[in-house]
Amino acid sequence: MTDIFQSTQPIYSQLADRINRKILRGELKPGDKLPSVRDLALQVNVNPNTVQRTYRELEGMEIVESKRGQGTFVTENQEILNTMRERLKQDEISQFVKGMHEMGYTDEEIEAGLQHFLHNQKGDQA
Amino acid sequence: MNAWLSLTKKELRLGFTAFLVPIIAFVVVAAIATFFGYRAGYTWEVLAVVSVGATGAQIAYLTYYLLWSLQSERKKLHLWLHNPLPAYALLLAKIVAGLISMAVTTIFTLSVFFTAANLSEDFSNGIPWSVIYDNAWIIGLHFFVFALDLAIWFMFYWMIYLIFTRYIAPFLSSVLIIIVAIVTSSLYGWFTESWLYQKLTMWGEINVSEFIKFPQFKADIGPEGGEFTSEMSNMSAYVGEYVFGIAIALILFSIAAWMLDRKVEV
Amino acid sequence: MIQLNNVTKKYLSKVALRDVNLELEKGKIIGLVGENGSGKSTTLKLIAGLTQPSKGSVTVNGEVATRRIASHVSYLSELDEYYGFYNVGQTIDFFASQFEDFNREKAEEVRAFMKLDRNAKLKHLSKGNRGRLKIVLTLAREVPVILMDEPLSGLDPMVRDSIVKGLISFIDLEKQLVLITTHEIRELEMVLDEVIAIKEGDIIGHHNVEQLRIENGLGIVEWMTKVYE
Repeated sequence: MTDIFQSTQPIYSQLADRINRKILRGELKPGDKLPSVRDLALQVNVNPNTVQRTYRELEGMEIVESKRGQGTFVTENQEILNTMRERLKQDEISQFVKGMHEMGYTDEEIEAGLQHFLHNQKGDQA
Repeated sequence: MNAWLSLTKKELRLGFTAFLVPIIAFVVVAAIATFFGYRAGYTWEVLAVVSVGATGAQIAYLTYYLLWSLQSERKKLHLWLHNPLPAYALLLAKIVAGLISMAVTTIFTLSVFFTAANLSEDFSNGIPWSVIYDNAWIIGLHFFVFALDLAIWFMFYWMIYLIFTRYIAPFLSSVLIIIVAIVTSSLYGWFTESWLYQKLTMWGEINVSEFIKFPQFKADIGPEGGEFTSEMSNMSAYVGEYVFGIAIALILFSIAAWMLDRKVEV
Repeated sequence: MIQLNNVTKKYLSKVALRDVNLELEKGKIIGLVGENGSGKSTTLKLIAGLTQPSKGSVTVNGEVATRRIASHVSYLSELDEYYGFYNVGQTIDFFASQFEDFNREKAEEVRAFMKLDRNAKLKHLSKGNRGRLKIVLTLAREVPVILMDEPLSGLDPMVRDSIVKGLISFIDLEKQLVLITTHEIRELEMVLDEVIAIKEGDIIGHHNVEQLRIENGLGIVEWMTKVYE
């Protein structure tokens, strides 16, 4: 994890986002223990209170659960993780589409462009 | 107590140069004087006189030591004052460090004096040693008390000086505090001459001869010596004067400590 | 925990602080930002009891701040004058002897973290290492209030980074409050809970930093540029 954050956006949600992405990528697996508040704060150079808030936020979404005296763990409830996976996808797509709309592309152009792009990429890899 | 002892140790370390300078100066001056004394045929006499002079000069030792110590602390006030100990403890640590340095230095110059005086035939026969030995403790006590009194006055003025420096330039502050010191000590001197002071202090008469033992002068001293003796043995001191002096010193010390706690700013 | 009530501080002709009210709570790292001579250092000295208000009152834990508040407050001055005859270890030992709440093990830990040699003479210490030593001495105390005056000023990026990391590792946010004055906002902005802006002796803003980002989409620098106009 690098320690570059957007200073104009809340740090705790940027950090939560990073943890979510780690889970999606499989760097953090269901049941894995998250670093302690202090350790994570040191890793990313932020206030421990902020990390605390990130953990609380993730706990609220049931993505992580804290076990008394043991630490914070990634949930083993696959359903919640699937929901999160779906939600992040939606977020990312809506972000992308919004940007394209702002530049004046139509829905058809976006769809065609996306398909073309993905197709080419597949071709590159093959 | 442990904190205070550690602080006193720090003060001794801080004042170590202040301790060395007079000793080195004395050794150098004594060496030069003795060299010229040797050429003139008075080696030990010269050394003894220089040593007595050096010992006497130490009446101002404590003041000199505190000046050094407080001055080097002036740049580090945030360090010296950021301490849970009360101001009187901070000041006492410096005074104790000063007294220890003073005692060592005095013992050194006195030892040189006694050695030199004993080696000089004229001095070892001429000096009424018994008078010195008999009255050593009372002379020593007065010496240290007087040095301490001087040092307390100095500390008192130093605190006012520190307050001045918050508002005006250091040089102007020094000039101002010297003026204040001269004016107030003259006023105090004038006060000790006054009728009120006499009223306050002239009680508890002590006959000096009870404490100071005078030699039984032999006949060869002559009539003049006899007169001198009787004059001295009629001299009186007053307990009141001591009590008053100590009270003033305590008050000045308390005000100095109060200023350091409440008024001196970093 | 720290309270300033209608505090004014005047020097002969200059007003350093004007009718300042401030209430700070424990568990936070608070940044005090502003231009040179805006009254940042004066505020810290008032809380440390090393200077007295001309008007109003300053209390720490309900106690009026005189210099003896030092038993509840650890103050790091912007000056780095220490006793030059000591080495690093002796300086730590001296501080340990003066403050009851000084934790020697923690001091050792912070010292090792800051890579300071116990035997290095203070006289020969580089500016960066003196800055590190100040952090060791300040953070080794288990004290409710920590005041730091420009802890990063004049230090190179490596040292700044180790100091920021030191803050994160060794401050106990369950019990302690940290108030830091700084020019180097970029380095510290990720570790601040609150920010207070001060201008010509007036407090012109006091915010929770995350709140500032959530509500206004502003970082500290952007916010300061706005309030300072």
